Amino acid sequence: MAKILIADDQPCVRELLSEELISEGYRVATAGDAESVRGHLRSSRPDLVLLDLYLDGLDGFGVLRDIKRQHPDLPVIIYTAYDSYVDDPRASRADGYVIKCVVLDELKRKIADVLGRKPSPQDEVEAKPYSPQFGAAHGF
Amino acid sequence: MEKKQLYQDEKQMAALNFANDVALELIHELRNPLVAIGGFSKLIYTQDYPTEKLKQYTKIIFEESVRLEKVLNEVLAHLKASGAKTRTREVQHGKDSNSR
Repeated sequence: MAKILIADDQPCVRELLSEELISEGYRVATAGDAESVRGHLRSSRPDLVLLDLYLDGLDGFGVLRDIKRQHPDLPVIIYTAYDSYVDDPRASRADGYVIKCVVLDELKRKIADVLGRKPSPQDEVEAKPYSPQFGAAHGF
Repeated sequence: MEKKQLYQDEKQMAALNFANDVALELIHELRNPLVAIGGFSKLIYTQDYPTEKLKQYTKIIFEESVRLEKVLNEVLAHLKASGAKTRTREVQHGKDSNSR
């Protein structure tokens, strides 16, 4: 099963993505800063990197450049809260650019696409829309 | 006259660019906690977690809500400090009314 390295400075985002991707059947590793990403790449190469642009400051592009220099075949998907770098030439080195979103459908589809496998059936089952009935049944 | 107009245009453009940069940064600051709140809420209601895990995820939701509120308060404080007029919303007899 594919191994995904999640690089994000926010611990809760790392936790959230780990839960979601493990439930999709992936193996995951996490890194909270640029040095940790480099450490993971030296010790155990992942099949794909999910890369936040904000690592110790806006250093994600530097990390992307290093990854692509040393591991040109390793796919990297930029996963960021920044909308404004979609058209940045530096982002063109990446294999995908997904803007952080509450519903993870697009991210999961992009991962599956980049890894060259079809989405699992779980990809179609995402966050249920809020309904008063659901809320009442759960004490909201 | 032309020089003065040019200067005013440049000043206005600089102000617009600054406002755009602030807006983009604000979107970034809001998006991260929003993703955490939405994401962990979904996990809680779609998965069967043990109590400890539920507490951990609920705590994250609470902390990220506080973070969102902090961002909003900082924006409001900045607006007040810059002298921008802010609206106060008054609710009277079940009706909303906006006053400056």
